[in-house]
Amino acid sequence: MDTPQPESDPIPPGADNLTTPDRELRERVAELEAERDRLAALVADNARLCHEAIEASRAKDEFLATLSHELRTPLNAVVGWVHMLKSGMLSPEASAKALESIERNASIQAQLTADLLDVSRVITGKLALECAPVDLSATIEAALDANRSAAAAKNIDVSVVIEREACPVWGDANRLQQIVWNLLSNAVKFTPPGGQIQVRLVRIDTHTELRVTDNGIGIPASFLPYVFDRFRQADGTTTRAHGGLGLGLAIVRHLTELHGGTVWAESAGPDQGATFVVRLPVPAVLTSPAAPASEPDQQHAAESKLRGVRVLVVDDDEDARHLVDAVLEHRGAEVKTAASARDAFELLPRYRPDVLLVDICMPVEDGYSLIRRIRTLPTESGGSTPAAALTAYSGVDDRRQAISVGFQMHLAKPIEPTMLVDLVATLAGRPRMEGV
Amino acid sequence: MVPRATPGDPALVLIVEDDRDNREACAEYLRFSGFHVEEARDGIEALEKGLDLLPDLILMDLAIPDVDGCEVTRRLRRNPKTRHIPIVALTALVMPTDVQRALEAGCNAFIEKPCHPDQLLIEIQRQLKQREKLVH
Repeated sequence: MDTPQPESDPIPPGADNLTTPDRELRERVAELEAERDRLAALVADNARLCHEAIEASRAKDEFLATLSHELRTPLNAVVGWVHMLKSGMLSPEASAKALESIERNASIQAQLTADLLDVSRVITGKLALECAPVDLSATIEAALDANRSAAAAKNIDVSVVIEREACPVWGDANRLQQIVWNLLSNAVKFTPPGGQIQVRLVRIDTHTELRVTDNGIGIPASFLPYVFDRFRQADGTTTRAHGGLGLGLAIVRHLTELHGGTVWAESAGPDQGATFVVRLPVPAVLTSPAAPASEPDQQHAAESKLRGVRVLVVDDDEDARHLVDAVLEHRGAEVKTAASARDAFELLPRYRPDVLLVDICMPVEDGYSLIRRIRTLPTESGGSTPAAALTAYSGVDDRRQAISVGFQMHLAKPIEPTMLVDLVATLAGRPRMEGV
Repeated sequence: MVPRATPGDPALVLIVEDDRDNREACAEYLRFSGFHVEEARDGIEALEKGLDLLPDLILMDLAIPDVDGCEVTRRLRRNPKTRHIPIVALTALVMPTDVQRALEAGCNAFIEKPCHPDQLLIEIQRQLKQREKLVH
């Protein structure tokens, strides 16, 4: 409520003419006004926080009720059919139908459980990626296969357009497939019988873009900003026509962000269909022309995959240095090691490695600081050397920070040798070996 | 094993259930147990079939499309033609507020999913007997 303003300022202007008590009064008024504003802001803040807490608590209650419903429904069908099968009352045809139904409902529950575990891992920051070069066309094919029967059952036409140059990305093959699978099954679920789904994979500058478009029920504009929130569903009422927990898209967003990508949804509104877009960064080294493969023999090729690649390994831990050194030298790389950021910075312009592997957590100067200094060097002194951060931290923020300060890639410890070799080969611009 | 319904006098049960697998399992079991069975997949169909067929009993899922099970129950209770039909809520919504909502809407009993088929059969027969007593 507004307090009516007095007709004129109670304190006359012209501070020079004021007596001391007037000046004190004026200062006191100013103090009180500041205090009043501070308290008003506090009250507003408090109300906002309270509202947010109530909203969050309500969303969780709603989610738990939905979870209970979504787990009990398939279980009820299973319990019913099992009882009938056991009592021998079903005809052979009915028995076959019963088994199919049990299988379908068991897999619904398995999927719900897997989604719940994934979301729990996301919340606790325990979802880690196992990265390697990935061919997205294979990923899309596998996700399509898994959704084909559901789409066929609704007579939905699925068309696919894949640009070859958009296919190679760096990531976790299983998790990328999970992203595509979720988007596809979402599209099938919300597209009416006889509808259409289009999958497009295109290369846009330094990104690969996956678009999954359907002509289904669409998304109201008011819900678009929340479509990737966990526990949120456009229709959470008891009359909703579609089941599920509302976790699939939340998982898609987290997995995409773990890959350093972005995801968003577009829709002109209800019944106007929807498009989901996943944009993944393509490391520059994956796109530069590959060096010619010199070894035709595959076994030999595997052993000498890194022949001649010069690698500088920076890690304060001696065992870690030796492990990386051994793995890379076994594949033909030439490796030098440094035990501190300072040593590495001195060695870099003289050794001129093809690839730099840097531990993040080091005493005196950490890996972030080192790469920042290196990136200020001219190219001829090694300032542009492709580099990967090796770190025990594997959260989204760690990955983002590593990329933002100047690393091309991020590899979580403990290091798996084949992944390390793939990573170095990728950074060095070596072609990926088939079957290796 | 619960005894089958009296032969020659099969009661008609309307199953209101949007999930295909649940609906088919329930229908199969009740047919085997000697009932006539009709099915409805959403609230609109439930209201139509409830009024058209005047079943002896309705098994009502609560979370169904278009019109939810509680509202269907309320409307059937308001109509003199259908107000006497025993309605048993059979649902995976099992929070205390759901039970209260269902009973307040006019359901005669509340069974939570998952439920054993025999339990369902016992409740159906109990409701039918009570109804019979009221009629005679």
